[in-house]
Amino acid sequence: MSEAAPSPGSSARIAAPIATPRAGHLHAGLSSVTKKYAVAMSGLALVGFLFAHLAGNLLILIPGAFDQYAAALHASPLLPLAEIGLFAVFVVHVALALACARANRDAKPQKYAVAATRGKATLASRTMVITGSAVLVFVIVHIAHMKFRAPLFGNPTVETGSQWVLRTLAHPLGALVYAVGVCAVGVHLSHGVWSLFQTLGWNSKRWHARLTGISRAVGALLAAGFLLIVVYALLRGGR
Amino acid sequence: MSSKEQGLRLVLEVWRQKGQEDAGRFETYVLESVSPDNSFLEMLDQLNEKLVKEGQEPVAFDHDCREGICGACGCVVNGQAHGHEKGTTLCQLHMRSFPNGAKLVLEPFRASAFPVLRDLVVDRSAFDRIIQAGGFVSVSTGSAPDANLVPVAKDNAEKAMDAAACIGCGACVASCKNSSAMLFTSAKVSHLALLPQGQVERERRVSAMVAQMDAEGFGACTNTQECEAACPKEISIENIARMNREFFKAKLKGR
Repeated sequence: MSEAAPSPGSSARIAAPIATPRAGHLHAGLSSVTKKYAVAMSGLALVGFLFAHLAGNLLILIPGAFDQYAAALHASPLLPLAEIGLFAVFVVHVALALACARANRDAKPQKYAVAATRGKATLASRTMVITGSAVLVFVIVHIAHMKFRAPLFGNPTVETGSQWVLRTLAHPLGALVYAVGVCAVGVHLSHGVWSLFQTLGWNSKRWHARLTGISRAVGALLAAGFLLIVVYALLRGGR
Repeated sequence: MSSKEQGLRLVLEVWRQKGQEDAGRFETYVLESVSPDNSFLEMLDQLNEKLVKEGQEPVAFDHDCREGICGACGCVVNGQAHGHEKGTTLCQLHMRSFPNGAKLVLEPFRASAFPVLRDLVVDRSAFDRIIQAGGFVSVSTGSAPDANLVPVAKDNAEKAMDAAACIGCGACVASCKNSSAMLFTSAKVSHLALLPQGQVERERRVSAMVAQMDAEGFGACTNTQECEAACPKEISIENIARMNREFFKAKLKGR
């Protein structure tokens, strides 16, 4: 390939952009790396939230503890602020990931007749948009159901939050939706965690194997933790 | 006689496209007695000789040095850029890697930023423009200093050399499901960011090259690592992490 390096003493200076015959600009507005950075940063915040969320939820295994925790959380004046912040982070993550996904689709208008990989791509890494979309749908159902108490999975008359959770998860459809939802989260994170470190530039040859291992472990751990609550509810029959 | 003496019989499904406006389609050719010692490009030469003799248009394909160092050749063989062998350009792929009777599907590198010019030839000038945007040193760094006068850490020298091994063939873009050029761009950014000569323009360089990469219509990396596996020079995705780091630092400094 010929490289247009200027000769010594020439007046060439680094200044983009060079005129390109390409008609479209896939990354109008923010650069691809900036978008990826924002997706990675928001992803990191969301993983942090998931750990806190799971820790709080696991209190349901201790009778009375979950409702106490929920009451304390809802009594905090900071909760609405935290909710708005979390919502904003979620919106940034979804919107910019979808913007990247759209540009990526347009960048490869024609697929190969023979689909093959070199064995490096994983099911998780190739399906981030699909698992991400599944998580998005799940989160909408989850918020409607848990926060706004939409009676989606049976219509139980309950007094406490823990009863609402356990009876929902003992409902066949409720258990299925939550199990599928948290598994989608797990698969998404099995690639997402190391991927966000790579995007933020916090990776090297030495750290690569560790980070991919940590990524799978985080995905499996979070999915297993949330699934444990579903299994617990099913075993207790919703009581 | 064994197939070794007779040579290989190959069934080739080749992408034929007259020009950028043509829709293109696959044509099937059967090629007999291909020597297992032939390179992939020599096999294509043999096909073209046959086509010319039969009064058909030969298959257009890019090639130059034929010794794996120039980055001119490359097409997708059975879904893999430069074929299935690791760390190999198409010209260094030999027909002994294929069994007798093999069916090979040959396609051009696919990316909206690499429009097909003819058959297996794509326009990779987008890479040239990324280099033009900043893949060089334009400040005076003086005449060649005495050896070891400017100390460069061994580690950095090795990493810069590994990044500089990129021949700009485009296999990274071809093998990426998003047609992202981040492995190529990051190799060029890393190569200069790791060395003293590159320091003055370090921030401007990464900003300009990323801007050009975006303007050309390449996708964004989703870290599937297929590029690293397909790269004939085995450029590491460690470079992409470094480019992202460099980009962030440049933006912090407002460059």
